[in-house]
Amino acid sequence: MNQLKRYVSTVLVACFCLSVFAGISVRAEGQSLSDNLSGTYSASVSTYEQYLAEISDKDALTEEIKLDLSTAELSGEGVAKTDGGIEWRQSGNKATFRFSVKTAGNANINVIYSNISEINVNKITFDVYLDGEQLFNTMAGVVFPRWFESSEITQDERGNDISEELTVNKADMEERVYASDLYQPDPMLLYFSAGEHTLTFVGDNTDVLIKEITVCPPEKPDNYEDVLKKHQNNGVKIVEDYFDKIQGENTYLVSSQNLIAGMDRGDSSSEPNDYYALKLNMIGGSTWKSNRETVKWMVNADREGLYRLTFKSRQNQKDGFISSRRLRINGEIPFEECRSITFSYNTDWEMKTLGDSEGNPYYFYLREGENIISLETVPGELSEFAYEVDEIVLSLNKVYRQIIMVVGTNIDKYRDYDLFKEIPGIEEIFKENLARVKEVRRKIGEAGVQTGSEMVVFDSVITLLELFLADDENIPSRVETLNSYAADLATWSFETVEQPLAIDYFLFTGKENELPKANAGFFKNLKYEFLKLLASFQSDYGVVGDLSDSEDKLLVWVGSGSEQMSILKNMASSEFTAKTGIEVEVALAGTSVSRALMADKAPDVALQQAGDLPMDLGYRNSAIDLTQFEDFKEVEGWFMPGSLVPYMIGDACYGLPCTQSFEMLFVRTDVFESLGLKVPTTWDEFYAILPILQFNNFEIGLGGGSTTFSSLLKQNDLSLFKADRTGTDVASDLAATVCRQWTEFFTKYDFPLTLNFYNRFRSGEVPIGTSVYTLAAQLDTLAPEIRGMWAMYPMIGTVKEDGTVDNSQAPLGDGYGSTAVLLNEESKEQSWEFLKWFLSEDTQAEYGNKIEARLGVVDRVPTSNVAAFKRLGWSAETREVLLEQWSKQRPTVVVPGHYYVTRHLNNAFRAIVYSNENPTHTLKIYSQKIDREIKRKLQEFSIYQ
Amino acid sequence: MRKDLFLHNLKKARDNKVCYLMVFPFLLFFLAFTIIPVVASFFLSFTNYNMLESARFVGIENYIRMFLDDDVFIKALSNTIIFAVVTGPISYFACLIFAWLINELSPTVRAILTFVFYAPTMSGSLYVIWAFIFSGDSYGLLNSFLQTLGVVSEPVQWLTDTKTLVTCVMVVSVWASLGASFLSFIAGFQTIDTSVYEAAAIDGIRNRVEELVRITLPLMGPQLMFGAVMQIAGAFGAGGISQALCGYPTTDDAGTTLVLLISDLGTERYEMGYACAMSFVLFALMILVNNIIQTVIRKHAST
Repeated sequence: MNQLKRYVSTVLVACFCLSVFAGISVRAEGQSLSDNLSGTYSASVSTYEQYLAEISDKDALTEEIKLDLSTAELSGEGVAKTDGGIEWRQSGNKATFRFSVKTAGNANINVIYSNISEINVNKITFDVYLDGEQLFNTMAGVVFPRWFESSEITQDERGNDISEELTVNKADMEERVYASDLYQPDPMLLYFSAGEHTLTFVGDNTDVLIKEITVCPPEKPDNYEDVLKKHQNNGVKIVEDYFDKIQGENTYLVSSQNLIAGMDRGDSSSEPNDYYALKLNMIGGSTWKSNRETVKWMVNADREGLYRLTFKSRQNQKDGFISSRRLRINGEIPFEECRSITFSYNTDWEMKTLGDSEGNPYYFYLREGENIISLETVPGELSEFAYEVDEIVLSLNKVYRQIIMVVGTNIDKYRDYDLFKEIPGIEEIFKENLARVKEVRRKIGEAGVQTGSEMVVFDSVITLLELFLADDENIPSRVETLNSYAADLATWSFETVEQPLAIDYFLFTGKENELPKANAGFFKNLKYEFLKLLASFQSDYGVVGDLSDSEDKLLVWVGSGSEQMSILKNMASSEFTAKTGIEVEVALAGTSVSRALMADKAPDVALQQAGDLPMDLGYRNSAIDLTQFEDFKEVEGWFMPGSLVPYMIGDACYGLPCTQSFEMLFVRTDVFESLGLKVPTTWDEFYAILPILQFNNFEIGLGGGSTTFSSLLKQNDLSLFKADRTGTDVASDLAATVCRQWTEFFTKYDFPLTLNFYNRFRSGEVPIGTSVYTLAAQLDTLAPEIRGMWAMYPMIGTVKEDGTVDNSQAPLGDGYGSTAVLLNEESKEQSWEFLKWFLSEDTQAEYGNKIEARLGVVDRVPTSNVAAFKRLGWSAETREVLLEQWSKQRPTVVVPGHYYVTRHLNNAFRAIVYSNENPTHTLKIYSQKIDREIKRKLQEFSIYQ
Repeated sequence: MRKDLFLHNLKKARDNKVCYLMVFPFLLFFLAFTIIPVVASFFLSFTNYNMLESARFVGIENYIRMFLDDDVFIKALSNTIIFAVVTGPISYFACLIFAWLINELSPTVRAILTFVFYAPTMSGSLYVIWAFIFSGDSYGLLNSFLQTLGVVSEPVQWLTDTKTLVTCVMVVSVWASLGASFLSFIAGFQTIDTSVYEAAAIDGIRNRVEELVRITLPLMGPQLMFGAVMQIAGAFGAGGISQALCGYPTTDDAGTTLVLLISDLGTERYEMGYACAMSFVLFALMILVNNIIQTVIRKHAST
């Protein structure tokens, strides 16, 4: 009996033990959610920085290897061999070159190329492959600048300088290949082992002829002392007496369209200067600051010799910051010290004679005759930290999202979250980042940057991270601070790469010459300011260009800004007036067109006006019907189908679109990847991913505007309005269902009603949402830390009966773009010519590119001309996606009484969402209100008409 | 007799011609920018005028439509009256109390505090900071504060929810309304002869409040009148704050006042005739209310 008991108890104990183990393993399977998601984010290819570190110990190549272009293998239609070299004309085509290396070493790739297009002004980009692979991710998108020359500066009849024109240059240029990182001071260095190799160039944005490719050792100029001795040994003397001033605005060639002459009216010593007329007297200012932007000047030296070089420069854009430039004379860096010339912050102009730290000037060799001096923007000392800071930002943002997943956006202050236990690994991440930030801060301090404001960002982050590590209960309440500090760091790294500089003129002088003063004295400036004040009463700076007296001149009003106005005026005089002889006066007059009509002072053409203006004027017989012109049909074809619907009353058309926008779906692909989600294409798929997103405390950025409602109606083959514009058309049951679907996003699914999509998308809190497509340009330029982690997708669509997905959009016609109208019956023929010219493909493309050059990528114009759109700076891939979505947009008609539509739709929306009213009933009430107003307006107009 | 009076007045006028000459420029402006527009508006109110085409006479159709067919007008009228009734007296008494309180302090401190109280009005559009405080985003100041405290779990849409937006606008209105009346009250308090207070103290006034009501206010008749006129005009003409905070139009027209409606009709909707009719009604309303208030004050004040 005891034996049996013993057996039984042993078995029972064994079972018990086994079950305990089983229990442990079961619990191990059900780990915390955040565990699955805290994998490290690793790029599939290493970075250029890592690659450089690997090859840093290798020697430089000792030979120069010129690649044989005639034996290159070509693939694709857009690339061809010609007498001069290899020509690329389309994207996606590639050429492969073979060569052999005798002794291994690090080398650059030097390319001689020329631009072969008159109209393509975008940068030339290639993807480069060595032996068929890309060793790091920035071998893609390698950029060659397309050079521009500027026209002579001319004056208008009032003496004001007219901004010069930049035309693409077709001369041969020699450039080394740079990796496409945002900040790289030196050309791309690759390691070539001994033996056979291939180099492949795949064109992206091309129209280029490559004449020569050479694999050569990296530039290694000698230091100043050695170079000076060498020249003096060759018999070149230091020039005693010489004075040559070259104006900064008289450039020879520039590497991008934003490097145009600027105006400084703050100091009377800038040359040329006048208190009355506007004179262009400097190059740069705030426009010359991005990496690799180069300005070249031509200098004529009487005789060969060694000269002193002095720049009259000013860096007054970034407090305490040092801007750097690389000097080259005739394409080469004269000596090592010219790799990075620094310009410190100063609110006044400075006479900067290039010299060593003790004040002894450097002497530069100039040959007799023509010399080319160039200054290239290179990243300054602080820029090397930008990489590091970017990685810290990425890491902190990831941690932020992980914390939000656990804590939610509504933090409970009285709960112990125990975050270090809940999310394993973040304690280490915080420790690591703290150490990195401290290291960066220390190095910056050592680099001698004086400013306190630069340090504040880092000091704040250090304090915060130390607080977090001290006690993890400090984290939940300060998680927003973590987010905003990460954004601050991202901004720091973004801005630190910018190196603004302005040059008024520079001097080549002999050793003994005295240099002029940089700034005018106090009294001189006082007199200057006073005279300027008097002049401002006489001269009208709001109108650009010649004020012509001719009877036939066209008065054009522009609704945007002064840059747009001056660019338009320049283009109008040089192209439109030159071709047709019709003079044009352009004025900036915003949105007061209807008032001007009342006062009988209306212009002939009004551009960039609000979307409802054509109809408002059309109903009241105040705009010209454009269908009367013979070539109207042709012009209609320039725009996407359906674009003119909001401007038509019956068969008459009262306006044309200038700009058009549409919405795209923006998705944080990294967040989706980590959650294992697919980007939704239909609403059903969308509903399916909502629970996962919301469970992890992410939010959705679907705006609550009427566009969503109208688009949903369209996707269900309904429409907001009757086609004859006599009323709304939402009385059907299906419309009520759609309304319910729309409002349920905000009631049942609790989407946020107002949010700052840009910021929240950037931080990752809102990983999916809709926004106008131009947000992509903003994100690309202003949010570098999330590069490669987001993408634009077509809008979510409804599945139709036949299985296709309809993802069209239907924005309200009176609010979705800017328009152009013609107002003067007497001058209608000429006005129509002008309008046609402005909206044509060539003009819109040129205009768009110029605006982008002047104001930056962020202000890329959402032009309405489809052919011109294809010539703007969007990459080929993005362009396809955008065109696809754009072609599916059908704006609604504009009804009389249209202003009531948005109002009452908003009222209906708010009644349903805030006060929980019944959607069907509310929709009915408000659509009736809209109908009443429409009816009243129809009565009013039918009396007049 | 009548002729004598007329000649007598004419002579007086000639004697005072320098004064008339001084007033003349202002009179010209007043005529051009106040009198003539009011008269023109009166005539336009009987027409249908969309500004781009000529006016069409329609009789009293505008007025009929206003009172019988336009629910937005009724809403705006009730909003305006509620606004005026609530913010008018509140801000009037606020001005008075604050002026009375800081009257006691030394001149420098008084000057500083006057500046502090007057600053919102002086700065023009500073009240837009309240748009940030009342922002409907969950990161808006008030929303995040309440969410931290746990009072609400979701952001409240202060400026777009009909339940809350009127109160918000009223709060901001009162805050921004310590204006010219405030200054006039301060000045008024200064002008009262202190010997009156001494006499009152001897005569048995018990406390400061009684002194305020029985002595100070009656002596401040002109200032009170001025303050009342300013506040009423301001209250009925309120609209800017509502538009700046809640946008125009507000949800379901809950924050629409007459001024906003008029400017919307005139500038956005091309219905100038109707707008003139409505502004005339507003004008009549303001005159009526003003007269009532003035009679009340005149009864209680001694000159």
